[in-house]
Amino acid sequence: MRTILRESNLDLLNEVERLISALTATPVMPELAAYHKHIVRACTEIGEQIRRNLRDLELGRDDVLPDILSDTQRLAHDLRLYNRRLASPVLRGLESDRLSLRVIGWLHAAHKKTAEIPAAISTEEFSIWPAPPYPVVYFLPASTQQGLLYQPLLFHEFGHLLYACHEPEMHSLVQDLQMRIAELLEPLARRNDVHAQAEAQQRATIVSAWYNWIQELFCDAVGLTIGGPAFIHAFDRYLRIGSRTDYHCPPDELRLCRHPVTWLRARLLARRARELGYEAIADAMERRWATIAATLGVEEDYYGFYEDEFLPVIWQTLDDMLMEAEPYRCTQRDLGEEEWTSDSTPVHLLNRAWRRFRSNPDEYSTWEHQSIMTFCATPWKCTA
Amino acid sequence: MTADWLTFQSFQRSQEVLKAINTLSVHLKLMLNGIADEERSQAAKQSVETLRAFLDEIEAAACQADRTEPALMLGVDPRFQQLVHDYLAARRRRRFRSRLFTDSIGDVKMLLNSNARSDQRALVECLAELRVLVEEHMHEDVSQVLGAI
Repeated sequence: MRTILRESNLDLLNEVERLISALTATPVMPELAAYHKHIVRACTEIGEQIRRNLRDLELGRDDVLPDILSDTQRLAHDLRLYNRRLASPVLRGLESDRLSLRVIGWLHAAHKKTAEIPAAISTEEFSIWPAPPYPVVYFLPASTQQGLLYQPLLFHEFGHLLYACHEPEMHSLVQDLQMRIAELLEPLARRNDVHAQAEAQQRATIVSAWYNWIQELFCDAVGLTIGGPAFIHAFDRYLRIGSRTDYHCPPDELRLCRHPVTWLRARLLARRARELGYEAIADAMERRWATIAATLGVEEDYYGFYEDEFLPVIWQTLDDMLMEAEPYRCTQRDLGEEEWTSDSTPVHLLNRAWRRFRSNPDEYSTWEHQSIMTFCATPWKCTA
Repeated sequence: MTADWLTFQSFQRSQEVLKAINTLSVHLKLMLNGIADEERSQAAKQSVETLRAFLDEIEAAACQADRTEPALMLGVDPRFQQLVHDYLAARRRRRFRSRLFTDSIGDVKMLLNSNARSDQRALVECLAELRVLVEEHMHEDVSQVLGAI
């Protein structure tokens, strides 16, 4: 066993040293410098831990072999993670990454809890890996990386990072919410038969679902708070044409859904948008979703996973979560008519983009191209 | 918009706990055999804190699950709930023999800071069985995060 472990650790050491060589030989754009430094340091630490395993093997003790085996497997997982997923944003080095990297860099710098967390982007459906001490990776589809219009959806993903940065407080708020929903679901009278047991199980399933659901609704609220109308437009355009299950999800599917039904998300987003004074945009979005639902022949039904009587407690929880997380708030200047300048925020640029796109779609492409060039040409300073 | 965040966070937590288990286990075994292992002593202290926090979370969630029927764990992410279910099932089925699965978690947390050799031996047994539980649990996360070859 000692020989096997020695060989495996030497293999891993060889691999990590190759990876470090590749990373250090790659030219890095300033927007990725912090991320690059972080992953080189992490890979160097993996190398040091492999060397420690090799030293432990030299002790010649059989009783530690199971520990070294487990640690070798753990390090192999970490190395595979860096090799396959976390190194690629640096190694691919696409010039077109600058746009999203600058939006994310500003976003992180604008919040005291995330200012020191390095981030990168990669290509997949919109999502995030928010698990420090690993560096944060934002995923977005290839075409959306090239333009301004769907960048606001990164603000939703940033909400997951904010949640992770405030986890104890958020868990406590979610726990209170689940308790309140459990109370609301409690029947007036209790029976003691098989049917009652099935109902109790269904209530437990609903309460459990709200762990994920409230986090997604919180992230939508974060997206709106940061991005203002640009987030509503991006959300609406990107998600409204998804699929039938975005409007209606059968009960058996609902219990497996990690997100609330998207139509419910749209409704709650519209409600918060109205609170922030974006009534016209919210009304128009709701009408569009209702039109599509009608064409699909879908009626709104969440099979008890959401009831209107849940709304006050959901709303209070979201307000409390926003207060805890304190995301950047879209300002009047971000919504101004003037063109973006280097002393303004990416939120201003993204709202300008949506106004230009909606008012003059034929000329939008030329304007967007020029705006991205200007945005990415300004000296990079990773401060809010 | 996908919910990979949950899987990735679960993967990260398992990796962190396994690192702590392995570090502390080797350290204790060497100490028990008269090897000072000063190189690892700081990391071993950090591992104790990591494991204490992890056991606190399991204890709190298990306590919630015990209080309700069907078992409910509020404010606990679904992947961690699964781990707690696995832990409770292993206890019920007497799958393991260490004190982590026969005594209370509170008792095991006491072992973390004990200098008594018998306690350290008992802790080594607990760590070995906790590692099996965590490694089995993280298989699903590894498949989703890293894929299969």
